[in-house]
Amino acid sequence: MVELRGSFHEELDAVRDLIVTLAAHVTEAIPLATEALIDNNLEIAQEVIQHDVDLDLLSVEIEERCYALIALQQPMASDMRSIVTAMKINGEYERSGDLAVNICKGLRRSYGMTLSPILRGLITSMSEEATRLTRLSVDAYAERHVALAAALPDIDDRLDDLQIEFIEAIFNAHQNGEILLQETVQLALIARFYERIGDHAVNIGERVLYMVTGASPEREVRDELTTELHDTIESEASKLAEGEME
Amino acid sequence: MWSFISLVLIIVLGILLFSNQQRERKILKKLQRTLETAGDTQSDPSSVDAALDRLANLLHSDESDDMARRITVAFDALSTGAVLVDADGVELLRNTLAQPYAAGRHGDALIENVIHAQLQDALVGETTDEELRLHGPPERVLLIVGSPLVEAGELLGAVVLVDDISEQQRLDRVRRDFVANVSHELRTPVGAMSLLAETLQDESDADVIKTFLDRIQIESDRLAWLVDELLDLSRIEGGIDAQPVILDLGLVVEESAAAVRAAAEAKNISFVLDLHDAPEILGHREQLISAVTNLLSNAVKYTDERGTVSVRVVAHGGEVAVVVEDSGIGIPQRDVDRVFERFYRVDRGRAGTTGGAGLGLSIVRNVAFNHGGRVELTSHEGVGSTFSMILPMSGAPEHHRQRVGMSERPPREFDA
Repeated sequence: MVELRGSFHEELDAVRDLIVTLAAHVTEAIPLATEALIDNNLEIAQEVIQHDVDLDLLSVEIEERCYALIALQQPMASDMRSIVTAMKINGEYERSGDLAVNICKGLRRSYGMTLSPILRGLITSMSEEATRLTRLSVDAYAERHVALAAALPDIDDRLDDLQIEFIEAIFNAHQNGEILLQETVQLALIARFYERIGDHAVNIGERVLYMVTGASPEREVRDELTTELHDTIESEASKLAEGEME
Repeated sequence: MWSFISLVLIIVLGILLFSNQQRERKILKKLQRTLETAGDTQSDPSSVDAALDRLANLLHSDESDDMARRITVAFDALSTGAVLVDADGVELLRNTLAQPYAAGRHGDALIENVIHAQLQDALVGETTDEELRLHGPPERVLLIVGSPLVEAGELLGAVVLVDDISEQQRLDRVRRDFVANVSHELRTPVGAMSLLAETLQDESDADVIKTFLDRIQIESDRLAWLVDELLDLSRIEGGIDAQPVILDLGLVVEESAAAVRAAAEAKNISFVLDLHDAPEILGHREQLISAVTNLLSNAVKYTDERGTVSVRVVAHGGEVAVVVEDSGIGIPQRDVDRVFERFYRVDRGRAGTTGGAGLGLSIVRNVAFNHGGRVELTSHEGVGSTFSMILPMSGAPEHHRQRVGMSERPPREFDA
């Protein structure tokens, strides 16, 4: 039995290593997509899009391994949380990979557009922030680093600010006649893709917190809502009761 | 029977003695072979004894130990990451450089992936190589080569070597670009002149001839100027012959600023000088003026109308920095490391409109170096750039001039 658990934990470590690999692929895909976008390089865009198929396969493998672990080992408590977290995080990284693909598709739709230095600068900054957040999220996961996981939403604020700044910049560029309306829309979408990658990293942070501490943000929200609901019902009931008294 | 028990005992001892997995495997294999020999010669107890003696000698000799240690040290000294596996794919050796890839994160995880794939290929006899480009940070290009280890037709194992070729690739690119750029810069005026001269041969209209001759004059001036620039650069790159003198750095900056003030005013650029901190330094006037002028004219050139260019001199801890800050178009991140190369241009398309040959920053870097200093650059596209030429207050150290041309020089990408 002891040995069985030993191999269980080895298998769990293997799943973690696969997630680290998946995240590493995503972390490379983001700057690559940005390079394609800034250089108007369709070859690189194609490379990112094709490579995403491998990421999807890797993601499927991770999921299947998690199912097998649950089915064969019937894990409990923290082991169970680790597997559930792995499955959730797997999905988040897979989505981030898709977003890098979306950036490349955005380039294809607006191919040939020339970007002003200020737009290029902002895109580079957004890409750097999104990459950094993804890197930090996997660090938090692999090291079970609670403080880092909890800090991710605040680190993400900078990316949100950059996105807002970028949206203003493309509106100005459009008003000055530098870019067409279609291009403006594509760029706004692209900014949104970077911002979403950041959000996925924040989600991963929340999952890591859940894995290590067992605290789930959703449950906290639900508990809060339930308490609020109870309070409202009680106060309404007492009001009614008072009304009847009168 | 007794021999069998002894063998088992020795196996156990062997395993205990050689906790290291690699040695354990080696020993186990040898034990296995010995056991087989023992089995074959069951009828002849003397040969079993001989086999046991051989085994005992093997276990007690330090020779194989020493050898293994030497091999490990040799592998660690390599500037290449190396992973060695036996024919079953069990890792025998991983040198220091390759250690971080195992259970690594980010780029390292991807390197480890490639290593694994290549080991598997190598174990079925295939040699593979792959160039892996990682964005990092840090940005790296790695050449990963996997090959089977075969001796006399027998597959002994496989090895994967990981070579960091980032610097090599960078230098290759610099050399390629330099040759392309210098040819382009020289070719353009020569081509124009040849075309103009050809047209002139059949031309009789005096006005047209005059215009064309003017053009030829302009192009030949441009060529002469370019050659002068190249000579200047090569002189500066060659180090300094004259003795340094004590100079007021404030005056140097003011003189350089005077040369670009008109251009700044023409573009309505607000031009701010802050020299209250400027000290006296030991240096070479001509060179410093040339460097600061280059920095200032770049700042003005790449700043749009109604922008700002500021120069300040800041003394701090034995060093003094001439900081030139502009609100210009900025330099893309990937070009920041390359703008100091000769003839390097961030945007080739803009070369025609801004003029210049792309030698200015190369001159700046060499001047700073001749003074025992350095140049730093921070830039954001669309926001602006800040160049800092940092010089030691006491001038270049005594030993500096002797070392010129050696390791202390800035990296010379390519010799013209």
